Amino acid sequence: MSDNRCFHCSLPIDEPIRFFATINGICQPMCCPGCQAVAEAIVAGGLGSYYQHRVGSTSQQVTLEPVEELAIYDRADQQQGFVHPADQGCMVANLIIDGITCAACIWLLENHLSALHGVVQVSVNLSTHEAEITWQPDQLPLSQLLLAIHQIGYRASPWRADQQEVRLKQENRTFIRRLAVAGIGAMQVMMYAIALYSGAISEDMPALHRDLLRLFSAIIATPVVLYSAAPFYRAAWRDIKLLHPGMDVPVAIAIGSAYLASLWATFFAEGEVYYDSATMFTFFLLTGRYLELRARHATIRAARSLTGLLPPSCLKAVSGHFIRVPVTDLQVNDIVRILPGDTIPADGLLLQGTTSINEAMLTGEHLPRKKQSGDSLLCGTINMGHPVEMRVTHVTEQTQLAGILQLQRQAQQDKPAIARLADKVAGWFVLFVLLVAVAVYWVWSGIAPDDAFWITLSVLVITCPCALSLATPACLTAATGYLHRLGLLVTRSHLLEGLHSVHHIIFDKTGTLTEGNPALANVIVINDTGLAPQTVVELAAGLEAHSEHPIARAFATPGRYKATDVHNHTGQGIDGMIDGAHYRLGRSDFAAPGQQLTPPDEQGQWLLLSRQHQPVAWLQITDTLRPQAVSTIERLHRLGKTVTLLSGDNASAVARTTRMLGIRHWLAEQRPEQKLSYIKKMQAEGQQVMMVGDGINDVPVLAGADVSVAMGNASDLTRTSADGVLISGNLEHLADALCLAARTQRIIRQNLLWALGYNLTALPLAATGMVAPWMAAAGMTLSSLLVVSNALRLSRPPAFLPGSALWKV
Amino acid sequence: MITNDVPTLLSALTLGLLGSAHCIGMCGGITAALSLSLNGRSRTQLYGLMLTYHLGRITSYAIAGFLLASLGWYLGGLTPAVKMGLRYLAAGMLIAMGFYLTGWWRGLTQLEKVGQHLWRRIQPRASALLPIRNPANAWAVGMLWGWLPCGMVYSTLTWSAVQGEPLRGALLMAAFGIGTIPSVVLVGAFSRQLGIIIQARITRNLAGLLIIVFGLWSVPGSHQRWLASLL
Repeated sequence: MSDNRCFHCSLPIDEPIRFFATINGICQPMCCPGCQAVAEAIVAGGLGSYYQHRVGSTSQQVTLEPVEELAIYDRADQQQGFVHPADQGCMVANLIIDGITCAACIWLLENHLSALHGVVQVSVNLSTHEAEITWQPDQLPLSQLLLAIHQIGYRASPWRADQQEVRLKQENRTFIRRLAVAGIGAMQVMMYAIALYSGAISEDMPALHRDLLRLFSAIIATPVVLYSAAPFYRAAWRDIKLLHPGMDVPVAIAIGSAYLASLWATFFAEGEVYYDSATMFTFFLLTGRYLELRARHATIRAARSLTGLLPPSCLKAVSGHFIRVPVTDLQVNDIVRILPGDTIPADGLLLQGTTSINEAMLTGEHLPRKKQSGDSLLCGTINMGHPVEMRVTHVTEQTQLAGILQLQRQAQQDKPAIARLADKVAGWFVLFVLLVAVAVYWVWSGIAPDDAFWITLSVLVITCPCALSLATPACLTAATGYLHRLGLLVTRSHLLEGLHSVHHIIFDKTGTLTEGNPALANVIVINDTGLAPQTVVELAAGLEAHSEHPIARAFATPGRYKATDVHNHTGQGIDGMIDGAHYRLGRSDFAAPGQQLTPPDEQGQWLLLSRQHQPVAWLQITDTLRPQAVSTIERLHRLGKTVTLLSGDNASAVARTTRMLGIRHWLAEQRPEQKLSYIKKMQAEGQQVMMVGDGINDVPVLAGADVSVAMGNASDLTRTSADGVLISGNLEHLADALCLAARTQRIIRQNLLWALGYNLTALPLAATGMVAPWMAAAGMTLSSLLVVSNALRLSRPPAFLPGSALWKV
Repeated sequence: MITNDVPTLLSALTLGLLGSAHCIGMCGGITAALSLSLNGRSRTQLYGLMLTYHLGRITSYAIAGFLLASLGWYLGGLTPAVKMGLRYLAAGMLIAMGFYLTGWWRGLTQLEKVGQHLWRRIQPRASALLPIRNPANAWAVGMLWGWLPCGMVYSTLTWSAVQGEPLRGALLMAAFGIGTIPSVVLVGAFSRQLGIIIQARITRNLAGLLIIVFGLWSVPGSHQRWLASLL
C-alpha cells in the first residue's frame, strides 16, 4: 500500500494518482473525482483557508476552531493569571474543564494527560471541575495540552473568576432547561402510561386507542430522551471510546434501550412500551445531578468569595490627589486611601492614623482588629474604622490573599486516598453491573422472554452507583468548607483523614503556643564591654533584620547598624558582620561557644550577644501565651491524645510554659533535626504524629510528621509545607478539627455502607423481577439524596460537643 | 401506507449509513469547510444551518431519484427484458459500490468522471452561493452541492431506477440521504476518534463487504422469494 492520501478526505490512494486539485496554489492528490470536485468548489467558494486550519484529519469540525483559539495561550501575556511557575522549570496551569460528569471522567483526564510527554502532574477536581496541571513548557506548549483535552471530548479554558461565573450561570441555565423538559415530559408520559396500564388490566381498550396513546407518548418522550438525557449519552460514549466504563454507561444503555424498544413496540405493534420508565429515570437522575451541581457551585462560589470581595477600583495618590484607578493598575509603593467600609485592594503598611480592620474573610475571626501606623494591612480585609492611607507592599499574585487562594486550590486538587479508592471501586462496580445485566437478560430470556427486557432495565437503573461515587467527595467537601470557616485552611487533602488517626500531638512553643509577638523585656550588658544598652539593642536589631524567626519581631525597628554576611543557624541563633566585627546572637552556647554561661535570671528567655565570640550582653525576650492555649491542651488531653512540647528555647523557659499549660512531656533546646528524630522515634513506635508549628523554621519537622498544621501568622504562607494552616490563630479550632475529622470518617463510613448496602440489596430484588423500572428510578434517586444530605451535616456544627468553641460559632 | 416499502427504504438508509466511511472524508470535509464561515455563531444555529444544508442535499437526491425512477418506469414498461436488465445493472452497481468503498476496485470513478461534466455546470453557481448566511441560502447550497459527482449516489440511483414508480425512487434516495446524515453531522459533534474509527480500513472493508452481500442478494433470482418467505 502506498502512503499517498487524498488531500481532501485523507483516505489512502493507489498509484498512479489520477486526480488532482489545486488548493492554495499547490497541486494536491485526490482519491476520486468527487473529492476533486469538492476541493475545487471549496476553493472557488473562497473557503480555501479551511485546508490551512484543519489539523490531521478532515473530520475536525469542532477541533477546528480551538486550534487557532488555543494557540494564543502559548503567549506569556495570555497565561498571566492562571499559569504560575513551579519547581525545576515547570509551570502550573489552573484550568476549568467542561464536560465532566463523574469520577470516571477525572480518571480519564488524569490518565490521558499524564501520558503526554512533558506533563509532570495532573490533578482534576470533581466538585469544582478545575484542573491543576504541572508541565514543562519547553517540552510541550500549553496549546497542545489544551488540545489534548479537547481531543478526548472535553473543553478546557483558563481559570478566571469572571469567566467561571458566566460558565456557572450558563451551566445552571442549561441544566434547568433539561430538567424542565424532562419533568414536564415525564408527567405527561406518566398520564398516558396510567391510561395504558388501566386499559391493559381491564383488557377493553381498542387497539387503535392503545396505538394512539403510545404514539403520543413517543412524541412527548422523544425530546426528553434526546435532549434532556443527552449529557448521559455524551459521557457514556466518551467512556466507551476510552474503554473505561463509568456509571453513565448503564444509565445511557437503560434510557436508550427503553426508548428504542418502546419505539419498536409503537410502530410495529409488538411488545411493551417503557416511555414512562425512560422519562422518569431521566428526570430523577437529572434531579440528583442538579442537586449535585448546586452543591458544587456553592463550593466553587465559597472558594471564590475571597476574590469576589476585591474592589474593582481604589483611590490612588497621584501628585498629591487621590484619583480612582482600577485595582489592577496598582504598583508596589503606591499610596492608597481606604475609606471606612472599603475593602483593602492590596497588601500594604498603614501610613498614619489608627483604624480597625475586619479580617474575617482571611482568618475567620469576626472581631475587628486594631491597626496603628506601621501595621500591615491585608488585601481583601475591610476597613471598619477611619479613612486611612496605606503604602502598597504586595499586589495581585503576591498578596497573602492570593497565597491563600493558591493553597486552597492546591488542596482542592489534591485527592485523598479514600476518594481515589472510591473512584476505582465505582469503575469496577459499573463493569460488574453490566455483566450482571447481561446475565440477567440471558437467564430471563430463558424463563420468561416477555419479562426479560424490563427486568434488565430495572437492574441497570437500580444499580446506578451514583450514591457510591458521591459518598466520599460530598463529605470531604462539606468538612473542608466547615474547617475553612473556622479559620483552618486545608492545604493537603489528606489532613482530614490524618487528623482522625492522630495519637500524638507535638507543639512548637514560640509562635505556636505563644503569641509569637516577642517583646524585649530587659537588656543586661556584661560589665567589661562598656556598651550602652541602646547600642546593644541596635546591634541585635541589625542582625535580626535578616531573620524570619518570630524572635526577630522583638527588634522590629531597625537601628543604625547594617549587618552583612548574615547567616541563620536554625535553632541556635544568627551571626553576621557589623562594622568589621563578627557578632553572634542566640543561645549562649552558640554565641560564646565553650564558655558555660548561665543567664542572669531563671525566668523568661535569654539571648546572648557576642562580639568575636566574647559575650557582650544578655537580652531577655518575653512572649505571652495564646489565650486558648490552656483550654486547648486540656481538651486535647481529654480527647485521649498525648501532647508534647518540643522547643528550641532553653529548659527553664520551656519548663515554665509547660507548667502553665499542664503539658507533661517536653524537651527543650531542640534543634529541628532533633525534633525530627523525636518524631521518627514516635512513628517507629507506631504512633501517628501531628506537628503544630510555625510555618518556616519548622519546615522539615512539619514535613516529617504524619499530619502537620502551621500557624497562620507564620511568615510566608505560600512557602509552608504544612497540611493545614491555622489562619485564625485560634488553637481551640485544632481540637474542633480533630473532632470534625472523627465525625467525617464516621459519616463517610455511613455513606459508603448505605450506598453499597442499598445497591447490593436492591440488585437481587431487581434481578428477580420484584422491582418495576420506575420504582428503581425513584429508589436510586432517594439513595443519592440521602447520601448528600448526610454529608451536608458536616457543614454544620455538631449538636453536642463538650467544651467546644463550636458553641460560640 | 407505504409499509411494503419499509424494508427497501430501511435498506437504503442502511446503505447510506454504511457509506459513512466514504461520506465522512468527503462530505464531512464540506461540512467543516462550510461551517468555517459560520464561526462565531452559536452551536444551535450552526447545527440548524448544517442540517438545512443536508436537507437541501437530500432534496436533490430525491429529485434525481424521481427522475431516474421515471426513466426506469418508462423503459421497464417497454419490454420485460429491459426491466430485468435494469435489475441486473442495479445489483452490479451495488456490488461495484462495495468494491469502491473497500478500495479493492475503483471502477465507479469512471462514472464519477462522467458526473463531473454535469458538476462543471453547477459548480460556479454552487461556489457563488458561499458563504452560507441564512437557512434559505444553506438549503440552496445543499441542493446544488447534492449534484457532486459521487459513485455512491450513482449506484443508489440505478437502484432507484428499478423501483418501478417515480415516487418510490424519490423516497428511496431520500432514505439513502438520511442515512448519510449521522456520520457527517455526528462526527463534527463527537471527536476525531470517531472519524478515525469510521475511516479505518477494517470499518471500510466491513461496510463494503456488507454492501457487496446486499448487491449479490439483489441480483434477480429465486433466492429472493425464498428469503422473503422466511421473513
